[in-house]
Amino acid sequence: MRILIVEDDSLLGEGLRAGLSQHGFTIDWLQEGHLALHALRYEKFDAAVLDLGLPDMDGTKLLLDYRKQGEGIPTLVLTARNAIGHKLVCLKGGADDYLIKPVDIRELAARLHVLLRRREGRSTSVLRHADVELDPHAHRVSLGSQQIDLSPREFKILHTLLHSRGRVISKEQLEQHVYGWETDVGSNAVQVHVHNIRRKLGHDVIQTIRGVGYIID
Amino acid sequence: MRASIRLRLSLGLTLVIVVIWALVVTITYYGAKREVRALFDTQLEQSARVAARTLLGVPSADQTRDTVAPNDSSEKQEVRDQYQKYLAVQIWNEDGELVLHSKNAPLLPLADTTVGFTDAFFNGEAWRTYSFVDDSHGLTIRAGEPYRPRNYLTQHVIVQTLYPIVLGLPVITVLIWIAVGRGLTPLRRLTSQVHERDPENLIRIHAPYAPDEVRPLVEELNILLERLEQKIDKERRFIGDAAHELRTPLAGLRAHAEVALGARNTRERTRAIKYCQRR
Repeated sequence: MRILIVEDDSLLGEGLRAGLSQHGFTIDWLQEGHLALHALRYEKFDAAVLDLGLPDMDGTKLLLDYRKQGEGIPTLVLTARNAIGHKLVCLKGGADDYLIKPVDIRELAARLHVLLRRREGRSTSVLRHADVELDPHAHRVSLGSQQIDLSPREFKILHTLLHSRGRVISKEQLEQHVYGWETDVGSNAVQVHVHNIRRKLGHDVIQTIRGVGYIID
Repeated sequence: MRASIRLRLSLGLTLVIVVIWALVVTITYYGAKREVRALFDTQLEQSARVAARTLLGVPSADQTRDTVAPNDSSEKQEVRDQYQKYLAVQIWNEDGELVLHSKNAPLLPLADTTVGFTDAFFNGEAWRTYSFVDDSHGLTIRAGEPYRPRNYLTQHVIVQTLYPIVLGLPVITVLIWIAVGRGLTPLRRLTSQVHERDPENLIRIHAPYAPDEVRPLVEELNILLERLEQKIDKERRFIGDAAHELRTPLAGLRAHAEVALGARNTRERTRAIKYCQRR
C-alpha cells in the first residue's frame, strides 16, 4: 500500500515514514504543498496523510484544490489544529478522516487500513484468494491453516496484487508500490520477489502476463 | 483634591456668590454714605440759614421752608424733628463772643475760623458743622450736628441690603447643591453602565448622553478597550500557535519512539532513538 505523507516537519515526517513502513506501508514523503499536488496528479497512491500547516500553502486549500480535480484517493488529515471549525471545513471539503497530533502510529495505520478497505467496499481488512489469506493489520499470510513467513517486500507485492485482484499490475507499478521513490532498485528485484512468493505459496498463485505484468485472478 | 466634584463645585459657587455680594454690599455702603452726607449736608446748611434768619429776625424774601414740606406725613415730620433736635446753632459776633446758642450747643466754637463744612469732635463724638458769615450783622453763624443719625441711616440701608442676602444664602446653597447633583447625573449613569459590564465584555461603551466634558474619557476608554481586545486576541492566537508548535514535535518524538519499539533490528532502533535525541 503506497501512502503519500505531506508533512513539513522533518522530525515527524521521518517518524511517520519509518513508523508506517514498519506497518507494511510504502511511504513517500513530501514537505511542500505544491509538490504534493503535483505528485497526487501524476502518480498513483492508495491514500494520503495531510498536514494542514504547510509552509507554502495551507493544507485545507491543498485538500479542496485536490478534491476539485475530481475523484481522489482517501485522505487523512493529521494536524495540530483541534478547533471544530478546522475539522468541519476539512471533513466537509473531502477529508476521509481527521486526526489530532500527537498520534499513535498504530492508530494511524489502522485508520489508513479502514480508509482503504472502505474504498474497496469491504467490511474487514483481510484479503483472501483460494487458500491464501492476507491480514494487513497483523502483517500475516497463511496458506490454509499454515502460517507463511514472507519478507516485508514479498508481503507488499502480494498485498498489492490481492488488493487489485483481477487486474494486471505492471512491473513498474509494483516497483512503485514496494519501493516508492527509493532509488537503486535492481531491475529484476520484483521478479525475484515474485519468484520467492511462488516458492512459498505455490506456483499458480501469481500469474505472469508476459510483456504486461502480474495478476492474481 | 479627593473631595467630590459636587462638593467642590457647590462650595466654589457659594464662595463666588458670597464674594460678589460682599462687593455689592461694600459698594452700596459707600454709595449710601455719600448720598447720606450730601443729603444731610444740604439739610444742615439750610437749617443753619433758617435758624439764623429766625433768631436774627430777618425775614427773607426767598425763604422757602424746604425742610418742612406742608404735605409731609406726621410720621416723617417726627423723624425730621428727631434729627432736628440734634441740631446745635451758635451765633458769634466779630469780637469772638458767643451771642446766641441753642440749648444743646457747646460753649466752645463748633468750628474754628473756617467757613463752610468741617468735621469736629465734641463730647466724645464726631460732629458735622457748617459755618457762614452774615455780613449785614457782622455775625458768624455756626451750625452742627453729630454724625450719629447719619451713621444710623447708613447702617439702616446696609442692614436692609444684607437682610435678604443672609436669609437667601442657605437657600441658594441648597439649590446649587441640587443643581450640581443633577448636572452630574450623566457621570453617575456612565459609572453604573461601566460597573454593570462583565469582564469578558470588551464591546465599546455607547454613551450618547455623555456631555462634552465626559466624552473624551469615554473615547479614551473605548480606545483602551480596543487595544485590550487586540492584545487578548493576540495572546489567544499566540497560545493557539504555541499549542500547535508543540504538538508537531511531540508527535514526531512519539512516532520515533514507536519506531524504536517496533524496530526489527538494532540499526533501525538506534536510528529512531537518535532522531528522538536530535531536538
